[in-house]
Amino acid sequence: MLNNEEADIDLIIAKYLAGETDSEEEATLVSWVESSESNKQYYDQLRNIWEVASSKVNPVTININENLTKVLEKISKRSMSSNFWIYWKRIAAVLLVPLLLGNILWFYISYKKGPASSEPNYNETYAAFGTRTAIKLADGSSVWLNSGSSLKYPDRFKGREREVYLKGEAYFEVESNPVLPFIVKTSSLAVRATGTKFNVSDYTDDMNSSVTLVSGKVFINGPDETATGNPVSELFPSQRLILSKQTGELSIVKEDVNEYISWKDGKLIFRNKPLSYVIKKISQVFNVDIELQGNTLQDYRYRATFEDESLTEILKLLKVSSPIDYIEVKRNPLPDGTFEKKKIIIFPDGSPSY
Amino acid sequence: MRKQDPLVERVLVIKLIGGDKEAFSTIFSAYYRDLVMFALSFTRERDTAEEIVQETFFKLWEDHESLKIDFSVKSYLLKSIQNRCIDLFRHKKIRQIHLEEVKNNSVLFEYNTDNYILRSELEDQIKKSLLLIPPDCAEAFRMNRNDGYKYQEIAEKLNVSVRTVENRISKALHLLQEHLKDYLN
Repeated sequence: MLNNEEADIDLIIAKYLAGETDSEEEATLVSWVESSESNKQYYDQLRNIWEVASSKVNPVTININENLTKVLEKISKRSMSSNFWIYWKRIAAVLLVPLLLGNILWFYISYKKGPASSEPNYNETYAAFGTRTAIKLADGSSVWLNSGSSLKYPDRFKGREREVYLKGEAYFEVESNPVLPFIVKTSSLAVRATGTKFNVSDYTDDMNSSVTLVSGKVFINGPDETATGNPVSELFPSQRLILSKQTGELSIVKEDVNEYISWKDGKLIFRNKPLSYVIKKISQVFNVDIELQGNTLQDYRYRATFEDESLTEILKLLKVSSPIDYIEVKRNPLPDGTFEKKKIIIFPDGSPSY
Repeated sequence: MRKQDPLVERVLVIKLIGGDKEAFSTIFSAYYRDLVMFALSFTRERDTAEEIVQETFFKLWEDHESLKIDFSVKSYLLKSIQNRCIDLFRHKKIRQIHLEEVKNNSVLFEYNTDNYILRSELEDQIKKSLLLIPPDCAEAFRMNRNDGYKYQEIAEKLNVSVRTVENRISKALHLLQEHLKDYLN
């Protein structure tokens, strides 16, 4: 059985927790709780039970993931802006920029970049089939987009990286900035550079993606790797990395890199390349389906340079220089009023089927 | 993270100090609900409670580099949440009643958070213990805690005096504490 004093205190505690005490009872409770550590502990325990026993809010209705995402977003926003500051502080420290000059510099930067709090906007540029597009990025870097490719990039670079997203093929001439790595991400890889010239090719329908380095140095990572992660591989000038998207196998070869970047000047250069590769490139540039009939032609090798020739001209040139012939398939109208993709069939010269 | 294995928590803390966001997310997921429930015992407003808990986690991440290895996540979070709730009442003066409570009865308002048991750890125990105490006490207790009835309303519904309700509820609370004593210490 409870003794009287205990019972009285229990009564007041319960009433207090239920919000039903008067001020006299509260004063009694306060002095009782304050009179010893064990009283305080007892009161805390009753209150703990009292609060936990309440089901005003069902804990299951509290959404963990949604709110975790919210907090993580806040964290990453914050770290981007603080890194920005660290970066400028570093520069100021290294150069010992006098305060006044620093102010002018800061004014210039804020003038150039707009309010520091606003996030950069992303632009996306496409190069239609059969065309090429050149883009100048906010940091002064230049990008050439090959036929049927797209590049997503911010209107200004914020944070500790310069990051762009590529679908298809592009050639980059990156402005040097050792503290602000330039990163190109595609669906299968990420290329990190500081001040270099390189070509990245990752068309969705290609079995391989590739990176070709003209000058400088680049690091290759998987698509999810961050800039600070250890690179999977690095490239030196005149090297070309080929990644098999199916097996994940990497190979690096030394090649005449001009062949792989000449497209930006409107040239198609093939150096000892099999017909299967040649028609793949042609079909990407001109957005046509080219079908190769017969196995004998697959490995027929070409050495050719095309410059601003039309598709018909290229096909004619291929025809006179090798034992092939081709026909253009008549294009059929589609239900929406447009026509299906142009199709060309290449077959061995003199083949009776055509 | 009910009854979190201390070793697991230690590893999470070490990873957190090293800036591991996954460890941070694990800690968040383990404690978030319990902490919102804890904050609710002060604020009684769900949005405010969630905001306070989120701010506390944000601060935890900001401080991660300066944490000590023997750092107790639970006690850090409980303490900061309690402090934030108290600050909120002191500064914003949202509710006069609470303000008075804090001013006059801070000893009643502030938990010794080292001894606080999280909802997920205590809830089942309370449910079980409620079955072991006299049914009329448990009933009055539930009517207040679950259904939110005032003493007066309970008295009317049960057709007893308010004094009887007071006795039953305080007895229920006392008996629950006796059943859970080992658990609470």
